[in-house]
Amino acid sequence: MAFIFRSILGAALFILLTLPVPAASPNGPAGLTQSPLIRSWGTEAGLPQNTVTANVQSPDGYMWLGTHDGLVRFDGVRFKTFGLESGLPTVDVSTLFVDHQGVLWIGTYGAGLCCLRQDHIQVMAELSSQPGSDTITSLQEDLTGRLWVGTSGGLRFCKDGKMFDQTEFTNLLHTRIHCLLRSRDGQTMWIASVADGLMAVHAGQLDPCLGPPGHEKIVGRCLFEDRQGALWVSIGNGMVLRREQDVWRVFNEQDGLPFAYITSLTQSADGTLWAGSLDDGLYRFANDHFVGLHRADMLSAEDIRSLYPDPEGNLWVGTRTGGVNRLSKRNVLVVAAPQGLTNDFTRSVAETADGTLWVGTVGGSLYSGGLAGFRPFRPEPDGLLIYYYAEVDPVLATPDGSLWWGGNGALLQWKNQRLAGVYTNLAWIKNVSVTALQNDRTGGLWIGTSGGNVVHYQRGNFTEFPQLLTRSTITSLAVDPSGNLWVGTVAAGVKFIRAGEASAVTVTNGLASTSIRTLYLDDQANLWIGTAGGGLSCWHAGHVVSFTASQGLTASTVSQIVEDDHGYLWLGANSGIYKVSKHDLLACAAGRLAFIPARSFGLNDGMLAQECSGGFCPAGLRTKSGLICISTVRGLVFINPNQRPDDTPPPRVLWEEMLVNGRPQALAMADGAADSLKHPPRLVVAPGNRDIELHFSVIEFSTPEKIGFRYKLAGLDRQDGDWTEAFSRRTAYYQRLLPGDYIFHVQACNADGVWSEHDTTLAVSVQPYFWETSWFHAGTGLGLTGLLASLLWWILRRRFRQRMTRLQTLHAIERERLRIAQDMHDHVGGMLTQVSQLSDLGLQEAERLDLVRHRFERIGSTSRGAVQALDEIVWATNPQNDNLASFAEYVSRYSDEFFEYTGIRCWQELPVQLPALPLRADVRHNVFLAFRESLNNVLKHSQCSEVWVRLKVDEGLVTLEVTDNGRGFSPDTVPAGGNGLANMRARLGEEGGKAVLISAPGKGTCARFIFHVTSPA
Amino acid sequence: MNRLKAKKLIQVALVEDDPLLRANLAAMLNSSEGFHCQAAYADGPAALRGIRASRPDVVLMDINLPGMPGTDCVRQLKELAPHLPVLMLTVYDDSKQIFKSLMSGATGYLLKRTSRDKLLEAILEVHAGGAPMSRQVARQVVQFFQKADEMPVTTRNASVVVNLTEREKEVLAVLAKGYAYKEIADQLKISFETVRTHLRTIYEKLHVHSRTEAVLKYHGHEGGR
Repeated sequence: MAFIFRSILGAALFILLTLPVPAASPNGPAGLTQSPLIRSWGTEAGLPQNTVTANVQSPDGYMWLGTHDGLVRFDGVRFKTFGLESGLPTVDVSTLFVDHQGVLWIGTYGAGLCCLRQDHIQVMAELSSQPGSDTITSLQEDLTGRLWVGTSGGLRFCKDGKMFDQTEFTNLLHTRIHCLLRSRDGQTMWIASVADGLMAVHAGQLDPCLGPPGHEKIVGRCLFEDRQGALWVSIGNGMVLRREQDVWRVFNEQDGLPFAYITSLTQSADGTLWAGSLDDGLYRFANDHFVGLHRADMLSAEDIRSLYPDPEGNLWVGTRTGGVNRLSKRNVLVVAAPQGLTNDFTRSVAETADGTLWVGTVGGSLYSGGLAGFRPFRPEPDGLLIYYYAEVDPVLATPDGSLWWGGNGALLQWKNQRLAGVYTNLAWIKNVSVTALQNDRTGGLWIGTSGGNVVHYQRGNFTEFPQLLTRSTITSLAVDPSGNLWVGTVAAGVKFIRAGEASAVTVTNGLASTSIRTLYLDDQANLWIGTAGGGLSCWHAGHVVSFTASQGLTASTVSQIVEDDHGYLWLGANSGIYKVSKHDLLACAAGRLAFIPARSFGLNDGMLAQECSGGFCPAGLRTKSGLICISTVRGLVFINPNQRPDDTPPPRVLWEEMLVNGRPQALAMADGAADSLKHPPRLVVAPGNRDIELHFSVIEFSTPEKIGFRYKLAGLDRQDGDWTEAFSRRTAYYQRLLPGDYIFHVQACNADGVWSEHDTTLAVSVQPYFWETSWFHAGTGLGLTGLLASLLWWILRRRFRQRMTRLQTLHAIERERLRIAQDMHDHVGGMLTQVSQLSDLGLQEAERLDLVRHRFERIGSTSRGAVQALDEIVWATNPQNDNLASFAEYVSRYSDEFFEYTGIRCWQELPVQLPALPLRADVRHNVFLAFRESLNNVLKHSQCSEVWVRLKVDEGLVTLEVTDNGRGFSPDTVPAGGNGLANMRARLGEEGGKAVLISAPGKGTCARFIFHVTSPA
Repeated sequence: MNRLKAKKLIQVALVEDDPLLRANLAAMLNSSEGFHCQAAYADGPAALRGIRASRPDVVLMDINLPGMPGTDCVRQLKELAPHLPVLMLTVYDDSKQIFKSLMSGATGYLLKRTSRDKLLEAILEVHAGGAPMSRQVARQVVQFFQKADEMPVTTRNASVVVNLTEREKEVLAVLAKGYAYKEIADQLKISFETVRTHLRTIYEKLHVHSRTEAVLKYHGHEGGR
């Protein structure tokens, strides 16, 4: 019994170290059990298997877990498993160790030693044939950087990637090593072997170490040296030895140890020594005694296999069957059923002058007590009145020493240890319950009811406010120093009653919800309004500002508001308790702050339920000892607002994985990682891949789910200053990024809202296709020949076709083509035009030199030809021309220019009004090529004086005709393929059209092309 | 035409953003008998400021100017000097752009690759009050007025809409087919000068149209096609 009591007391002390404990109620039953906050992760949370044989943290912050199904990396939120496919020789991990270079060593069961360097697993070759030497039991590193490898088959060493034996320790080559431990000063290596017991290697000398009488030969299962330099050895069921300055002490079941081997020993950041047992729970060593933690304390399993204290103060506990547990300091204290609050649906809390807390509950009447515990309060022994106050909403302690509480149709007053007033028969109280109580500064009391009336009590008299403020419940009352009254209603907003006046003013403007849960008037005349559904609002000097999730305040229903001495408001909400700085809220209201950092408390902090009670007044209490007390649907929650915030540094963001079009892509790390601000790692995205997904993380284990992120992509077509608030999301997603260089910035904030000092950046380079580069545009200008033009044509068409099939989005292609057309037009056309003009100038200046003149003429004509050729390409490529009207226009223009200096008169008959029919680019181009060929034929062969170009449209069938009055020919005499006829037919045939050539000697020639305008596709 | 070539030089103003092209064009004009490049501007606003004071005879204007597009510049220029002939210069035969500039008040257009002789000829013609019109433009003009005609009355501002006369339509139709001005005159039994007057009027009617709301709607309709 004494043992139980001590253990409970110990646990409570552990928690309450930072809490100023108020005077416990003398009536309160002792039974305050507050174990550390335990959170566990098993297979359901992403662990591959539930046995955690080892855990260790690497310098980059990741927690590494060894399991029977691979090596696991954990960042506090996500697990990543390394198995056979990652290069591990087996998935059975026995032990883990991080050396001074930060390399993670992995010992396995039966497959030797390996290590993880830069995400690659490297297996150490084993030389020994000694049975058992493939099973690694323990790893340590000495000051020379030599790795000591304890195996089931003896002691081995590893250095520079090679395994070897050390001849001076020959007798250790064949004995099973249980455990190795390097002393804190690094001078001694302790070896726990099975055959020879405990040994120490000091200055190259191997010496046995004898234990106390009765335990001379120490067969240690695990070894640990605490910070005071004492050596701890676990030697058997319920037995641990400690050597402190050469004095041994034996701890056994009498000292609280279980009848079970201790499998692991460690010391957490606060200096507490912990022992994990084989199958009987975890033990904390305090006051020379071991105190157990079991399943009942929320430990996931009692078979402890590994312990690891992280620098944040958490203790990681690996178990055989329950995955891994994290033990952390509890930030909140909960008083609930185990502490005597047998009905833990708590409502109002009041504190009387003696420090006693009084709690109203739903159905359980009133409880009195303190942090140490509560018990039901029964003011009258016969219980006749219980009907009236089984459901107590408001409880108020007034300065005159009275305690007032209200119930169903009753208002009661407790003063001088007796019931001083029982009011049940008044007209205004009969069919309603009292929901709100508030004292004013003149010794009076304001009373609000569920019937919507407000009543003032002074010196034994009740005065009803003449106006019924609402038909439903009064939820809150607040009185300002001038005696003006603020009334919160359940559906009708806030009512304001000036002192002495008989009417009320309604405030609803600016409120996100008119359902008021609570009111809090601070010393600066700000009225803080907690609403149902509309979050927190603030009234000041006639203006109302509301705070919502978009400003970072995710609490939508605020039922209790308490202010502490540091300017923070503590909000009791449906989703937990929020701590917000009033300064931040007011800055946000003034538009100076866009995002309000809020610290939240919930289940993860040890609350039994996140929902805080609401709808009564007073709601929320600051105790005389300075604790914030919020009532919830499962017990009272106490938080010490003076608790020094953990000195957790601002979080540092790590890159986890980059996906480009859904596939992982490696980062190019810049040299000199120290200067990662100037030289961020680089993600190079190949042409055509435009969807990127960036995964980042912060490794933090105390409150990983409260790490917030925000990011931005500088260089993108939006304001650089805009952060995207990602809250707890650890992924950023960008679609259809245009080619270019971007810098991705990400910041994280810890639970207290402290943002990282520097952005973590990543250079993202989306590479363009070659035609998207400016050198390409410039380069094309240099090519003056038709060859280049046709090559370009071919490449562009081919690219377009590829893109067409791949993207299948006509729109994107059109945009691309439009841009190309534009670029070629501007760059190439411009440059060629200059050439042609220069040749004109040259002609002027060198008129007498015939040769120069001739050459200049050629430059001029060639470049004009080139411009015309480009013109044609531009026309062909420009998607705006994919219609019949443009085609007709171009045919007209082309033939004009074609015959301009030929002496052949070109007549045209084209319909003025052409139907707006789409014409596929390839059809358009092929018909045009055929048409051009026919013009060439006219010029070369016909010897005509006039030519007619006609175009007709008839129900989607287009006829284009080129007729001349030349010499004509006999179709029989011209071999097939002559006159380019075959070409024309082939081109037209491709498009399901046809080419007809009609001619007779002396009768001119007519070339007729017929094609469809409605695409068959 | 030669008789029109007075002793006085034809003062030409240039608006072209490409410095090399601008220098070349200026040099070409200055080295041609009877022409003088009075000023060369790099953009629209500069041209508007300069031309207001210098009063050239003819303006050559690039259709693709940075900042203020050539079409806008023409419109403002025509408000300053309604009778100043403006010829548009374009690298590429972009019918939409060309037509837009004609509607804004330009009196014709030239491809930049046009040979020197043709360029000078065109300047001479507009300077003499002519209105050179290609047959492609002629077709577009016909098409444009047809569409404006077909528009419901409610969407056009009836008082401002100017329709083509029958004679003007005839001129355009023959022009589109490929007849030269002289031949048009012969065929329609009118004088050569009358043909030119008709064409100038047609340009002006286009210009009038461009200022009406109806035209904007027409363009909106086109754009959405």
